[in-house]
Amino acid sequence: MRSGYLLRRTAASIGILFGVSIMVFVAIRLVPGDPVSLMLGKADQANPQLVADFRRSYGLDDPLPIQYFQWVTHALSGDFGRSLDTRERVGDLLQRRLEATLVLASLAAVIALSIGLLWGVVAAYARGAIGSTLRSAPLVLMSVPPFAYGIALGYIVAVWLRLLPSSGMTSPVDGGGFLDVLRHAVLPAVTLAIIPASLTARITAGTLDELRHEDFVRTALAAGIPERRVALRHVLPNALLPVVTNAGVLVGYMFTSAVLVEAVFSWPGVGTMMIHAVENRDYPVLQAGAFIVASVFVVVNWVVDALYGIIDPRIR
Amino acid sequence: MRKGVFSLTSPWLWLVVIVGGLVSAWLLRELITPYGPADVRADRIMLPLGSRGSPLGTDNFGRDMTSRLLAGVPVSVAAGIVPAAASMALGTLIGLVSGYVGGAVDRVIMSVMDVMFAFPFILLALLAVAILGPSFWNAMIAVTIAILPRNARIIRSETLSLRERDYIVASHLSGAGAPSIVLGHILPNVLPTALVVGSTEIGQMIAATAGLSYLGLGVQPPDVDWGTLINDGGKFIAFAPSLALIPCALLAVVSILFVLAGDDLRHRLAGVRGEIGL
Repeated sequence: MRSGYLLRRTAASIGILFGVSIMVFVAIRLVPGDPVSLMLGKADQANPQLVADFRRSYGLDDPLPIQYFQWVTHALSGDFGRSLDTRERVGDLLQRRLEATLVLASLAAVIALSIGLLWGVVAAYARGAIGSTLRSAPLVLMSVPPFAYGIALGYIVAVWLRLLPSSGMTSPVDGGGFLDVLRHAVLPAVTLAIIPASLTARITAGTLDELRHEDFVRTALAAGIPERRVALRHVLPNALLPVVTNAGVLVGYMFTSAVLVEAVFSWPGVGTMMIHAVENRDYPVLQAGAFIVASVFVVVNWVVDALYGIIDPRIR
Repeated sequence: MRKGVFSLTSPWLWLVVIVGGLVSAWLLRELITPYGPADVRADRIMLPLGSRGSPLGTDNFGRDMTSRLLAGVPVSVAAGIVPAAASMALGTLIGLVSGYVGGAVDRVIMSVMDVMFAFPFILLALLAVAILGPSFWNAMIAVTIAILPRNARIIRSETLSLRERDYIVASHLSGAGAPSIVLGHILPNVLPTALVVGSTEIGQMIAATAGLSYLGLGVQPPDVDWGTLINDGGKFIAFAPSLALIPCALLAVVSILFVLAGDDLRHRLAGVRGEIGL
């Protein structure tokens, strides 16, 4: 039973990954203009020998399915070509940018989950005006675009209070150490955490509110178990389930926020890399970035599905 | 149970007052300020808040901020309503066909939607802008595409549950054809959901389109919206913070009001129609 569920989810994820690779491949080919004029510099285009070499090396004269197969096999071996802008190997660029985004995102995830869960629990149990404010605030906080938070926080903390730097990942002078990166990461990570934290708080508060009226809670209370203990031992573990199942959604929100937040704080991550690639029509970078980010997203959702099967035996 | 639409705590009242006020100010802009949003004045560069003739100051090209902020009003309203409506209309069409026809058609359509869903919202929007090129209309098309898989899924699942209802089965047995069942019975029943989901998305679309403009991939100069103003003003945050902070505040308030109004609508209709899965 259990392996059946996991097998189905794995097959579906592989199917989606296949679809993602086709979609990214097709999307880049939908861009108007000949790849030669997009990917070669003006001077190189005037040289017919270079153009012919280029068309052959990229397999542009082959049928599309063969071109696709070529691209996928190269991509799977880590070869994404070279950036049109910097001539750097796209694989190296991608690895460096992914690491920077991961530093930011993992810091933000820790902040978002701890504050979001705590907020959700307090909001669900607080009464009166405080309770209703705490319950409705997450939706308000989620509605504000993340770059607006970035500008406002950057102004307050970096310009007004002069506490932390508001741009880049390291200081140009004697920087680059762990503490230096951490100092630069605080503002963007906090900004990045606001929307996922609100989402977590909203999900947690909503679930706790439903769970409180369940039979097993009433039974536990009727058996004389103190309310605090019921909340912590009986209700909370069940409330964690929707947070786990929504982890995919959270990661999606996180990436969307990250692109904007990285732009505000000039953080050298995948988001700024993608924006730069769109601006400069750097198609090898765009193609590789879109493929890798979407693949990470698919893998996260697969892990979530697998975890879900382990945590909640009912759905296997 | 729930308070009236226009009570003091209702988001609708505030939406009408604030967005209505902004739209009226935009309509009356020629009375409010003599300067156009793109009028460059070398003698009026970087005027502070409260300056004579330019109460909200001017930017580094001497352009009047009142006029520039007002120019963002119609852009923001359009950026919210047009993509939300277009994406919901398209999503309804796809969801109805996929859900009612079923079989291979459903599998193919939903596989495409699943693949699109594998891309985080902004990644899909960035890819669309990369293909279409940066402009305001293309930014609206990009966010329409980016939210489409979600809408199609919601309408499809509504259609699937409606398809099994007795009255649909009965009209099918009495000889009604698929077009008349879908248009006459299923569409009217998914419309409330479409309306509610669509209206909850208006605020998100305003924020998303402004986000693309902020990244330089939406509205292009000399046109302005709040996203481009925030981008331009961000460079001067250290000595003229109002240039970026005022459009930030306007964008935040308008997005919040649309989201809260949509959420209020959802709660009002949920009592009648059962919970709408979001």
